[in-house]
Amino acid sequence: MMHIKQTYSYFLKENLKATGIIYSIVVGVTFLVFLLVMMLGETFSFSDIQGLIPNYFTVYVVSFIFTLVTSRNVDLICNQFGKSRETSFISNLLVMISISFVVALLFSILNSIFYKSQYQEFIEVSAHFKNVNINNKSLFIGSDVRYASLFSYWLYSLSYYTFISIAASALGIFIYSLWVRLEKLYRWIVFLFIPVVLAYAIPKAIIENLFGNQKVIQFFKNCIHFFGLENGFSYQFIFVSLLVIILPLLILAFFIMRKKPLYGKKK
Amino acid sequence: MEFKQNDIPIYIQVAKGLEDDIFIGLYKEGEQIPSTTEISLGYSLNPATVLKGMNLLVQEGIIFKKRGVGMFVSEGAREKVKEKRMNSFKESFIEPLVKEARNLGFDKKDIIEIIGKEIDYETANK
Amino acid sequence: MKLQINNISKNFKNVKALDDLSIEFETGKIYALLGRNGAGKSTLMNIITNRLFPSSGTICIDGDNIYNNDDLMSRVFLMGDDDFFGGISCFAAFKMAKTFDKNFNYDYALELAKDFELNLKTDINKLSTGYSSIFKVILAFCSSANFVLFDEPVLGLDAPHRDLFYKLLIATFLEKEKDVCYIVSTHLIDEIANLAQDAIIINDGKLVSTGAVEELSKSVIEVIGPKDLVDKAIINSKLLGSNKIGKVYSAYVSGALDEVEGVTVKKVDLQRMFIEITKGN
Repeated sequence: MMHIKQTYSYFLKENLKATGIIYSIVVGVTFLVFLLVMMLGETFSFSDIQGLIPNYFTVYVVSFIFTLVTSRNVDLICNQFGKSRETSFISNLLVMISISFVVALLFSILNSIFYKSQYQEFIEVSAHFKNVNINNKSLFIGSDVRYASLFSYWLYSLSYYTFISIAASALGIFIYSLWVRLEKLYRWIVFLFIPVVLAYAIPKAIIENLFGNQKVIQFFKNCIHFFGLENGFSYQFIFVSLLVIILPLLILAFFIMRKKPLYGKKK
Repeated sequence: MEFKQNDIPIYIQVAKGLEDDIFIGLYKEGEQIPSTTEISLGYSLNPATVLKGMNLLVQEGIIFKKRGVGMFVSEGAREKVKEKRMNSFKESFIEPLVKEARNLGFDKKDIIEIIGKEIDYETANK
Repeated sequence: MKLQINNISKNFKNVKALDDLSIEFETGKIYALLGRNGAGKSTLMNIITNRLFPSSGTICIDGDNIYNNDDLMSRVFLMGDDDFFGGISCFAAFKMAKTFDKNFNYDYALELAKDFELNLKTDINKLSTGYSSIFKVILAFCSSANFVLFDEPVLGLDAPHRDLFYKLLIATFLEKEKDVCYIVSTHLIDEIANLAQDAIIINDGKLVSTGAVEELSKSVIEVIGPKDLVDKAIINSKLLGSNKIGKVYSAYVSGALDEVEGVTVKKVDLQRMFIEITKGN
């Protein structure tokens, strides 16, 4: 435990710093594009600021590539300082989950503040929140549906960001573990995974952009319905997704990593 | 001093080196000699090797160990070294000399004469 | 404390890199790990530190398997030829070492960096081969691990820096003598022969010879003289190699000699012994 705590706290600090830098660059570049468009005579409204906040797709890609790159660093440093493979795997995973959550928390709050138009779409989903009572008091005093929808939009956004980021990290860890485990000859197969992942993510992002979040929300609602979870929010869905998709991926990665040779780069 | 891997094991070279220093009076009787650490650091030698060489001298009563202080030259150490060298004088110097002289064709009289001349020359130049 | 290599074998595809190797290292000693290129020295060191996994066999410290055991693994430190920290300065790397190894001697690391004239602000990846070795050597000397493995530590170091390395090897060893074991893999046998107490020679993945340096070099002797006489003397011993200059014939042999007048018998040094027993045909 002591060893995991030590590696976790070190890499959490380091990787949070790196994540901060990466997203600053992403936001900075988007901002420059905004400026450029504005100079061409386009005008923007207040809610357009939301465009500066990295969307789900960006978070997905950043998390995936970031994990792919930093996992190796974590492994090598852990090995140099006498940490076992298991320790390095578990602390890497915990770091990724923590970072995913921090990123999700930040972006979901920003999203909720600047993306007002979305709330209306959540009125239906959030209807049951009005009926949620804590100590016999309604959660939303005054029963203002806008607060309820704001709250449910934020929850939706938070869970979506978290889910997307953890899923991308898990895939990153999985592919990394395959990459180093495999003989050089077979590595290209793993390499093919990356475009496949992007190929999935890019059309998804396009569809989201074309149809707005409606489709996604519909899917989201269907899932709630499918799992019979109308009385709860999407956490059950996320939990099930975690179990069905992410967990097996991670377990597999864990067993691959346990006996994975490490090769440093030769000078 | 320099220690090279040759016919003589390093630890014996270390012991011989210290003996030399004691013999020429560099370290007087009762005086402290350099520590194992100092010697192994100074000449880049394994400390265990240096210790082995020193233990050889301890066994012969040339140096002794003061617990927690270091190694010191024993009473009568110089005399002991001298005795040791006298014993090996024949083997180390006379035998090779006679062998070489025989190869050169010198007889007993020639050898004694050459040595006598050398001694005279040496005393004259003192 | 003992580091035990128990029947380690390692196969890469069709190549047997290590073949049933068993060695024991103990703290309080400096070992020279010798072998030709491709003999399996690096493979062995990588297996000890869990960078590679053996096909069979175990690595133990005092009888406990170190595989996936953090406490035992942190008792071993490998200074290898790999670059393990990218994109950070030497200074940051020392700080990192201190976070992971609470007893890492940080102040000493800074002092050594000064002695070696290592610029602490330089990115590790941008160091020259020599300075890259120096940086890694400093990390190794300041580590609190009990078993410190050096894989080609003097690679790319010039003579003054090599000298400094050997001096530090002795100095740091003396400081923590009973608690540390240095295992140095090198091709510069002459330079390590006086520093190491024991030597281990591996060839083609097999253990060829192990023991005290003084004893090891005794296993090969040089017999010099006219060829017919030398041949007579070595009739019952194993001829490893020979050399003829004019009428002088010298043979490197192992095993007992027959007494023959007119031949000179000489002890060889560790390097010569190594050459004769590993050179193959």
